[in-house]
Parts: sequence; structure tokens; C-alpha cells
Amino acid sequence: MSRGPRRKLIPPSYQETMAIWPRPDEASLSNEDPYFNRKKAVTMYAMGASHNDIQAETGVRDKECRRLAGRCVQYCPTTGQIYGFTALIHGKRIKSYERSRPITTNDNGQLGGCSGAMTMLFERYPEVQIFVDELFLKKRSKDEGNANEKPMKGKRKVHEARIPIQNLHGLFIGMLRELGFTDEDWPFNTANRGYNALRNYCKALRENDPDSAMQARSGIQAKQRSGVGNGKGRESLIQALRPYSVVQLDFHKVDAACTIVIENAYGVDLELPVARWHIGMLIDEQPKSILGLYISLEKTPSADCVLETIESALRPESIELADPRWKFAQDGKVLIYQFVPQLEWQCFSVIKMDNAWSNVAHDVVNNILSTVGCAVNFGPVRAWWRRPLIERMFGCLESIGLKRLPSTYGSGVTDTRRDDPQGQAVEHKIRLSDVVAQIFGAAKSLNSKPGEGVFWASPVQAIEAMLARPRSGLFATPLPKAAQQDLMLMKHIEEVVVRGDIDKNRTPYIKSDRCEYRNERLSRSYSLIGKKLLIYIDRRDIRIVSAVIKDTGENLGMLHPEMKWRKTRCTWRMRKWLNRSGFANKYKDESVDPINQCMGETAEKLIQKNTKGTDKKAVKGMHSATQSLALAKMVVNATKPLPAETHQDPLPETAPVAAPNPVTRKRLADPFNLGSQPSRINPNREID
Amino acid sequence: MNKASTNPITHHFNQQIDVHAALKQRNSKTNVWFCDSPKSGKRCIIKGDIAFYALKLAEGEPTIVDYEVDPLCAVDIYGLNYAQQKTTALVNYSDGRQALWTFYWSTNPHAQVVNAHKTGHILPQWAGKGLVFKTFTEKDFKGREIELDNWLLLTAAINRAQTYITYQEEQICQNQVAYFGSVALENLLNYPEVDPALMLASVGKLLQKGILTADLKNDLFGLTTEIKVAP
Repeated sequence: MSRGPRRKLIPPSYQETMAIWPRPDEASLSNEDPYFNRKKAVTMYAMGASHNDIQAETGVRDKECRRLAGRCVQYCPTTGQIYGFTALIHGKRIKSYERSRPITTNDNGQLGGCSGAMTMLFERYPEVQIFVDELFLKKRSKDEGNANEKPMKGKRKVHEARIPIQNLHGLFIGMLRELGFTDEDWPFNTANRGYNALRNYCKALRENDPDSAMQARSGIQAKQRSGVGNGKGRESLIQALRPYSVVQLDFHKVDAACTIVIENAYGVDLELPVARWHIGMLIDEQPKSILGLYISLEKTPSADCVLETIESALRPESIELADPRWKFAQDGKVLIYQFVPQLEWQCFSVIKMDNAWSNVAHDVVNNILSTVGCAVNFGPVRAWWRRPLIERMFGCLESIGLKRLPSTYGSGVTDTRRDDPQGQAVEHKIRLSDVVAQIFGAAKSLNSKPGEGVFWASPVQAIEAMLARPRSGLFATPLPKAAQQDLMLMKHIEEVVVRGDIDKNRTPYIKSDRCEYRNERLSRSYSLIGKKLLIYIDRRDIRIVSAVIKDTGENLGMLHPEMKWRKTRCTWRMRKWLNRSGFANKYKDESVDPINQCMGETAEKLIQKNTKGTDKKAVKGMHSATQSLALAKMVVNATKPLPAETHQDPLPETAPVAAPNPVTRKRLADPFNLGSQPSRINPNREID
Repeated sequence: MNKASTNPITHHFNQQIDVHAALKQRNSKTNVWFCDSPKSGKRCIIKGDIAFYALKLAEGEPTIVDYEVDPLCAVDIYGLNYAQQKTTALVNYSDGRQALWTFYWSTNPHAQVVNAHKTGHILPQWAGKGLVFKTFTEKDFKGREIELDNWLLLTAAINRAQTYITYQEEQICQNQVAYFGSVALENLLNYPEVDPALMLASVGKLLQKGILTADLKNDLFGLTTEIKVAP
């Protein structure tokens, strides 16, 4: 083989590294593919073979050979390397289309002959491209200032939510007209006036710059998904390596109407439709198992629901098989600890929750930290994908049972499964107890049946196997025994001050949410008046309260509520609601205050009595000065009937206060004449 | 039954933190962790996974005496805005050294490389105090997943027992290990008339102090883990 001059088209550094040039999967190409011939030609060219030899060997002529070599060393912006041998693939484009010829269309304005027209227009009029980009991607204009700062005052452009391509096209055409485009110019000389070109441009814009386009064109949730499954391989730093390492807690709204049966005092069942309710679940990330389950009938889950869900995973529950929950779990095994009693009171190391109000409640976080000792994690806002497992588990529960009920709400108003859910619930007597039984049955199934997520074993089997294998790292890590007997998870701690009065022999007591608490020891401890106590209230039952002296830690034992709260069980939250709603109703009361009325009448009488033969205006001006004295006397005599000389009807004996006189009712609306302007008083005038 | 070292009610009350305030301050994209630190004896609010990772591993480092999350000096050095958004930690070593730790993701193109020496943010009053500045990225924790999981388990066990006296369990543990040279965890937890939860907490405390040692880096801490006296 004769050798020619050294080839300049391929830099020496690339010639030496030809063995590692990017290349396609050659095994997938057929032997007849022109790629192999081209590759040989380029390789011979780089080696310095003469063009005659190259053509003899491969059939590739010198001009074509140089063209191919030039393509191979072109820079690829996507990979950051040269194209290498990939540029030799038949049909491979390594340069975007650039139009050079002027645009011409036929007289009918048909498509064709306009390739690259939009690109050419944008090159000549970059302001048009900027205009289109700003509208399509809701970008800020230069006038609005830096994208990282607040827009300058008076410069903020308000974009519509998501401009349709049709409207964008209208604005695009309008701008071209302003720039002086005529009907002879592209796009006005085409049938669709560049609509297709604009649409294709916008589509390419979305694909080439998805980060910018996502929020503008698909919404904030779509944008947040950009970080999910993007192949960047950013794993969660904190991963579960054994069971009970990392758990997740969440609530799920159940889309199935049902009825609650309430038994009245006579034993009659009353049915009440319940539109929607919630399931609280605590699941283990590894293996995917259900540790805790709680049914919440509240409109939105509360802090109590969160704590109840966690407690359901910790405290072993005594099973009553007559309880409808166990209808499909007659062996009393639903949760993991029920399958594996060794794991009763088993604690976990990390709990992940979302930022719902119930989860971030003061008592929830602090009680979990104090009782379980684990770390509590709140993920980024609206980052549902951080807890995919629990969302998937809820989906499984739904598909197993709930969405198949005739009273299902389905996935929404357009779901064809939906068919008068509440009516169905009443007609078919779909009771809450039945639905709960289904949920518990489904949870049992998830825990005990083999699944792909656990490599075709069941979570229970996996846990039992790991317990039998000590090197797995799974072993019992329960709560301390003392803590098991007095679980503080459902307690609310409060600081209160001891009240009382030794002089009046008011025995010491404390007050919480308008309820007085006492016990024998506290009642005898007058020295504690004014001191601070810490009380521990059971959130489930406000009658269960214990107290400790804050300074010394001395235990005062259990306290008892006042009598009216003693007979009925009431939760801590319920008592707060009762007090709050009671006050709200009290403030709404617009009925006339009889004492106020009586005082008004008597004040009027005094005015009339004092103004005989005197300037009434002057006296009224002094009304406020005499009012306070008159009121002080009237309060004492408020219940006495009015004297006869007041020309009012004598009061019936049974009336404790003066009834409003219809004649004077209007005046009584402003009994102290506070609505009128004060008259001028002659300071020199003598007043009786 | 073990008596409480402090009254549980008082202890729990004193430890309480304002959750809402902490979450309100944070960047919406940040992970927030709430946890009790046995080493510092406080309830901590940690912003970011990397900070949490580093501080959990610090719990198991015997040369670290204690640490303070979000110390006031961070405001002086890095400014209020940074101190509110990011977690920093002032770490005290047993030899008297002090270090200020900061944390960031190496893959975040917008992350500030906070190193006071490079950026020149050291104020004069800190320059002569011998404060060492250290930054952590996720790359520093490659291969330490097992160690983290072990310390998550041990610190949780220690926290559960924080209001109980574990003197008896610690004595049993040390005596057993000293006598036999090496004792499997299973044997300690099954010791007669001992609450296993308190025994596990005791083992954790002794490992934390460096009095006892075990392989926490290569194997998951479990019943077969051999506990030995530290050299």
C-alpha cells in the first residue's frame, strides 16, 4: 500500500486515539451496511493511505473521503465529544438545517419549499424569537430585570396561564405586520401563515429546554417530577438496610361512601351516611409491610390520628373476634407484630412524614421523639415521590377492595364507576364496619401474601427469616418495660399555675381548658399556691391527668376533674372545641340585656325628674357626669318595681325586672342618649 | 423496675421544641430532621440529609465530646441568611479542638462552597481562635451506609432510655466484657432480670464513649455482634 501525505483534516491527537472514537453498536448493523466501507475509508485516510488506494479498496472517492473524515471530527454538543464513527451512519445528521435560498411558494400557497423558513426569520429578526419565547415559556423580558430578583416596579409583565399556540400565532403574525411584513413575505404567502412552523418550533423548544418549559407548559407538579426517574442516579442518602430502620406514615382519603350505625337510648339503630373518611397507615420500607393501621372518621386527620396510628404499631391490642374489624382476619393477625409476637413494642429508627398540619403538630413530633427516640423527617414541600412506597400501598388497598364497592366515588366525578355513592351506601346498607373489615382484610393480605416487591416472598416470611438469621441485623428493640406501662405517646404536657387562696380557704387547684383539677394531696398543699406544675393529660380522656411539681420533679399523682367533666369521657381536642364553640355562640347572642334595659329606663326617669323647669339640653349635656352615680344606685335597686308616678304600667309581681314599655322602646335603644351630639353647656349657668 | 433518672414529665417538657417555627424558616426544598442527640443532650433541628448523616456519624465518634447545631458563631461568620437556611455545627473534640462543620451537595451547581479560608469570610475575632473549618458533601459518606444504620439504631435506643437509670446495666455489660474478653450482644440482652431495652441503651452509651468497641462499619449491628473492650 503506497502512503500519501499526512492528513490534516484529522488532527494528530484524534488520529492517535481512533481506537476509542465514539462508534455505534457495530454488531447490530448488517454486513452490507455502507458504514463499514466508510469506516475503512476514513481509517485508511487517517493512516495516510493514498486516495487511489482508498478508492481501490473501498470504492470511496477522494472528495467523499475528505467529507466523511471532516464529519467524524465534528464536535457533538450532546455528548461533549467528537461524533467519531457515528457520523458515518447513513442518514445521520450532525448539523441543524440552515436555509440559504430565499423562500418561494407556488401561487396556491401550498406547503413545500419553505424548509428552514422559521429559522431564517428568527436569524433576521431575533426580537421575534425573543417575543415568542417569552410568551410561550412565560419568561421575563429584559425590562423586568434579573430573573433571580423581583421584577422592577412597573415593569412586571403578566402572562396568561398557558397561552395556546393559536393565540400565540395571532400575536406572532401581529408582530410581523408591525415589522412591515407584507403578503409577499413568508409566512403571509402560505396557507396556514406559518402556524405549523410555529407549532413545530414551540415543540422543539419544549424538548430542548425542558426545565424552562415544564412549569410554564405543564404546571408546577410536572416540573417537580423533573428530579424523579431522570437517570441522574441521585439516590436517597438515608436508606433502609433492615426492617424497622425507616418507616413512613401517611393518611389516605377513602373514596367510598358508607353509613355509620348509631344506637340510640332505646336501642334503635340509626344510620348516618359518611361521605369520606381516612385510613392512617404506618409502613416499613424494608420489607414493604404494614406496621400500623388506624381508621379516622374526622373530616381531616388530626394530631390524635397520627399518634393513634403510631400507637397501633407499638401497643399490642387485645383482639375481640366479635369486633367487625376481624371479620376477614379471624386469627387476629393483620399487623406485623400480630404475626410475629416477638416484635411487640418494636421501635424504629427513622419515621418519614409529609408536611400535613396533623403531622407537624407540636405534640406529634415531640411525643414521638420522647417516646420512640427515633429521628423524624419532613421532606421537601409537595415532594410526594419521597414516599412512593406508602402511596403504592394505599393504591393496593384501594384496588383490593375499596374501589370495587358499589358505593365508590371512583377516582373523581368523571370516573364511570361512580353511581350515586351515598344512595348506594344507604340502599345496600354498606356499613362503615364492613368497609373497615375489608381494609383490615386487605392489610392482612398485603402482609401475608407473596409479592414481587419482596422477591416473591411475603413480608411476614421475610421478617421471620431475618429473625431466624441473627446476622441479618434484625432483632427485638422494644420500648423499655416501664415505658410500655405508661406510654406517653398519647399524652399532652402543659405547664399550669396552682391557684387558691389560703385566706379565704380556697383549697389549691389547677385549671386547664376551663376545667378545675384537684386531688387530696394538692388540696392540702397551700404552699404550692402560685407554683408551677407540669400536668400530663391523656389526649383520649381528659379525666386522666397526672401532675408533677416543675421545680422539684416531685410527683403529685393523679388529679380529678370537676364534677361536670367527671361523668363523660371527652378527648382533649373535643373539650377545646366545646369551649371555643361555646364562647363563639355566646358572643353571637344579640338578645337585649334586661339589666341594661332597666338601667336605661331609670336613667330616663332621672333625666325627666331633674329637667323640670330647667334647660333640658343643658342637663343632657351633663348627663354623663350624673350617669355613673345613677347607675351605681340603680344596680342595687334593679329588681325593685318601678314607682307608680313614672306613668308606666305597674309591673306584674312575677316579673323580676322591668318589661320594656312599647312607647319608650325606641328611646330605650339609646337609653343614655349617646347617639346624639352633645349640646353646648353654659359653664356659668347654675345647675340643680 | 428501673427508676427514672429524672421525672419523665419534666424531662419531656424541657426538651420540647417549636416544630412550626422550625419548618416555617426552612427552604421549601430542604429536608428537615428532628432528633434527640445523646451526645449534646439536646433536641436538634437539622436541615438537609448531609448534615443529618454527618451528625449521626458524629454520635459514634469517641473523639467528639459534643456538638452544637446552628451555633451563634455561624451567624457571625456566614451571615444570618446562610445560618437560617443551612445547618452548621460547632463540634468539640476531646483534645480541646473545635471545628465548624458545613454541608452541601456536590451535584448542586448553585451550592456555595462554604469554606471561610477560601472566601475570606473569617472575621478577625475568629481568626485567632484556632477554629477549624470543615465541609462535607455526600461523597464523604460513600461506603458508610452500614455505619449510619447502626448509629441510627443505637441512638434511638439510647434516646428511649434517657429518663431511666442504666447504671446497673452498664456495670453488667462492662464486667461481662472484661471477664470474657468479647461478648455477643445476644448474651447481654438475654442477661437475667435485665430489661433488654435498657441493656441495649447501655451498650450504645459505652460504644459512644469509646469504652467498648464493636465492628459497626462493616456489619449490621445485631445479636451476633461481638462487643469488646476498647484498646
